[in-house]
Amino acid sequence: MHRFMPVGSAAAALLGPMIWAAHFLIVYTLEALLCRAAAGHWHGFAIATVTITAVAVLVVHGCKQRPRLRIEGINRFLARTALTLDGLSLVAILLVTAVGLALPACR
Amino acid sequence: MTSNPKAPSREKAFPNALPRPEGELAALEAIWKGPRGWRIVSDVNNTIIGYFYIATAFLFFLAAGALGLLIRLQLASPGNDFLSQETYNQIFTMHGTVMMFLFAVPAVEAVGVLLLPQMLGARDMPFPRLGAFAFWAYFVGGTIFFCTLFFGVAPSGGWFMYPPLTGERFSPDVGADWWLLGIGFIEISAIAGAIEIIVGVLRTRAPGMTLARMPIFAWTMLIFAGMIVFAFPAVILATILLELERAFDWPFFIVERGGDPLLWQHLFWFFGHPEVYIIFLPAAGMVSMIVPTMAGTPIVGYRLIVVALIAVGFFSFGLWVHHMFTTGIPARSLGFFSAASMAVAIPSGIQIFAWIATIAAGRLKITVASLFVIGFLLIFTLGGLTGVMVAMVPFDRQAHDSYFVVAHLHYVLFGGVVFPLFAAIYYWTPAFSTRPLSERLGRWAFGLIFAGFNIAFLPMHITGLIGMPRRVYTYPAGMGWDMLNLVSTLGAFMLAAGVLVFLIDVARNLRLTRGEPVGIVWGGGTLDWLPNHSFGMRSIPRIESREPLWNQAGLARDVEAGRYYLPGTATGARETIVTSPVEAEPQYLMRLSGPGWAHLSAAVFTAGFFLLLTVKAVTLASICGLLAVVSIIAWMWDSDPAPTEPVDIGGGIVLPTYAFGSLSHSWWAMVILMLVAAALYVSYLFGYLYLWTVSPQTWPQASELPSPWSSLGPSALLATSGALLLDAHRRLSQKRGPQAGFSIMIGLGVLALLSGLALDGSSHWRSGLRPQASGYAAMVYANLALQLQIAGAVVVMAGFAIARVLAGRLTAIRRVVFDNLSLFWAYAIGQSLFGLLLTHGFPRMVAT
Repeated sequence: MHRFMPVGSAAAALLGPMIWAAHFLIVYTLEALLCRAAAGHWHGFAIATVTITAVAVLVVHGCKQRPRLRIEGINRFLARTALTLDGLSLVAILLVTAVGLALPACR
Repeated sequence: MTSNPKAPSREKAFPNALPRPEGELAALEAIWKGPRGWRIVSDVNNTIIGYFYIATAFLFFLAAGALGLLIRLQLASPGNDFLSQETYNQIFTMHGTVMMFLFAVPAVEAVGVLLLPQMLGARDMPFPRLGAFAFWAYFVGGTIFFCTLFFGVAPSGGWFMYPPLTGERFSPDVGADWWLLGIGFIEISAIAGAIEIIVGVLRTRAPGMTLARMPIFAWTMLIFAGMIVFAFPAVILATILLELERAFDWPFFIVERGGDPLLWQHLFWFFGHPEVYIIFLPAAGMVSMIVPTMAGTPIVGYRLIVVALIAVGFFSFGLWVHHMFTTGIPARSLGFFSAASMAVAIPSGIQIFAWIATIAAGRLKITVASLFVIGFLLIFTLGGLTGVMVAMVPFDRQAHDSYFVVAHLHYVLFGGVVFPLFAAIYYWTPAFSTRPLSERLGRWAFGLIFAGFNIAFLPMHITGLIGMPRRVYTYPAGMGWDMLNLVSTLGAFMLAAGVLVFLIDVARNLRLTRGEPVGIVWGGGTLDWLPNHSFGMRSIPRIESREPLWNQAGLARDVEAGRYYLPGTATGARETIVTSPVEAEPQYLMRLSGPGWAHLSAAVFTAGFFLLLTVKAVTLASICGLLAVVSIIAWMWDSDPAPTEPVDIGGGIVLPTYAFGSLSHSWWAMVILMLVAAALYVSYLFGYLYLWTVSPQTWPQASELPSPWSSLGPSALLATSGALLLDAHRRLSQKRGPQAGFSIMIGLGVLALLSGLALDGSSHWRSGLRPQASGYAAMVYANLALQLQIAGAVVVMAGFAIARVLAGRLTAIRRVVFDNLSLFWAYAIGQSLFGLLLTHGFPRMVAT
């Protein structure tokens, strides 16, 4: 019986945009919640923490693609796709972070 | 999949040898022969449903376009009284609503239904009756919805229907109800189509068509459908909440009682902004098919385009507040959405540059399709640039709700969707018609549409910048708007003349056929240009590249001769090959349903249920609802045929004819449906928490909450339901198959689920909480309503499973019906338990 590549293996290429989505939702929601609790001054720290975590996950995920890059065919395609998505997501995360840190919270 | 040791050695590497057995082709044709005459409405074949879909969507385009002309006539001169204010409000509301919900989404979905099976190497979509149901629901619902205009009862609150304007207080007539129930229902039809597209793209590709070889159009349809799964539930929830407010005074959006109209805006735009990309991506997919063919070279940057499509699919969900920059949201939050708006420009730009690079790499044939693509590139890019402008908060605050935004959205939507659709019609007509459309008339049509569009909408940028607000039915003279509006009106009529020329071309030349179309005239390289019959292609080829017709010599001839897989019918039924989702290797043979009436009556009665509720005809609506359920059960009764012996499809590949668990296409559809339900519930969760952040004063004190012990009873009943589900699972897996105890376990399990929800509802009711009291209270009862909605579906599915056990149609092997039930049942239990935790735990946690 032929073993087929599980769809989860291909879906792992989407981790970059998923991290972007999680980062975006967390920083946006945290502002609403911290401002509601009159603790908006903590939001900059929260953004920095969440961003560092997200970037670390993206870097680890990117490094994990290296062995797949050496395999011809669909593996290489998925690995390159994952790497490029990681890169785009990184840019998008940094854009959101830069804006977040530049503007005042809760106002 | 197994290998057949008795299979003959491969002749010239083809899976099947020639000559093919006598009668093989005739049998295939007989099985796929569709009904003729008026009975064609019972057909389910993707080609026929695709024609119906496209024709209906185009009719709505013409109808909504005519409304646009009325708008332009009214605004042609200052102080005009051609239309009354109320009529104007209804017309602009219907123009936007019909264009977005009844034209754009169905049109691109229709092109997918028509093209995808042939492009992927399948004989049909995986759920033909579901596709036909989606079409008829849309057709009936959309037509009735549009006709409200003729009776003066159409909605008038704008296509995004903001409360409080659309609440009971300011819109007491039924117009808003028509929008809420009619559009909500049509969105369900779009979701049904999306489920079919996802399963079709991931599971019915030709052998060898890995994800890396899949046509870009298929990628765009996959992402389009995935976006529908996550975006549409938000607006469905919004419509449910607003209708509950209007019908029963549950104050979700009424500030005085702890609601907030901005909640509607959040939910609507969480759908509404991705919606722009939902309709743009398939159009971009069409362009990505047309450009390489017309340039005679493979698309440049295939993988980068795939990346860009995926990135757009994700990033577009981070833009919803982009439409709410003037609502008083804190600056930092606005900045997040502004940054995301900039980020989405990067993948959008990748696509544009890839098309330009492909044109530069090849030699573009200047056909009508190419002209519309060039028009698209120019107009959509301009719309994208003004999009970046309005993504900047300071600029948006100046341009918001002005004609600048009207110009921007038309450049994006008309340029990004309508131009590619015209290109697609000119490009693919030869694949379905005995004559191509006229290149001469097409050039006139393009010229008039392109010039008319720019004359109509380019001046609107200036009209907006010098202060003209959108949605005003008239304006005074001397504001500097007179001439600009007159020019826009002239342009609109020039655009309409272009559409008229196109219609003449269609009337003169479009001759749809199931027999011998013109075929491959542009030299396309993908499977959609293989000879197409009612059964799709004669045999299903093994794919070795992204442009198999360019790289596999003699492919069309060999496919047509029956040399590839499944050249006939293996089981005597309509069939297609199910392949693995990543590498596209054959896994089993799916038998497809044929023409029928039950799905049609299900669509008509479902439409009746929703639309009769609008006019408060509750008894008739209930009867329609019941008949819809009966029709669905009748339709589903034959949908899970018994397994047969494995069949040989050629090349030594022997496939089973039945699959269950995660191998089954049906399992995939159910998982996607659960994602839809989960997206709807997450939208609810957002709304629940949002109301807490904006109006905590209306939330209860700890002493006002139901006793903490009151959640134990419902929790225990839900846990019991889960245990009974597991027991039913165990009983079905026994060798002797399901016995009487199996059905009893299902019945008791479902009863426990319903009892748990009823007990939870009664605990809130006994604590004195009434849904009309506050936004908080309304949210608590909305949770129950959502849980009961899911549980109701579980009840119907359980009854269906029990009936099939009694009829001997559900066994330890033939078990897909139970697998689907158990998935949805487990989901219902999980969501209900979460709902208990939320509505009992959270208020206690934040209570003072």
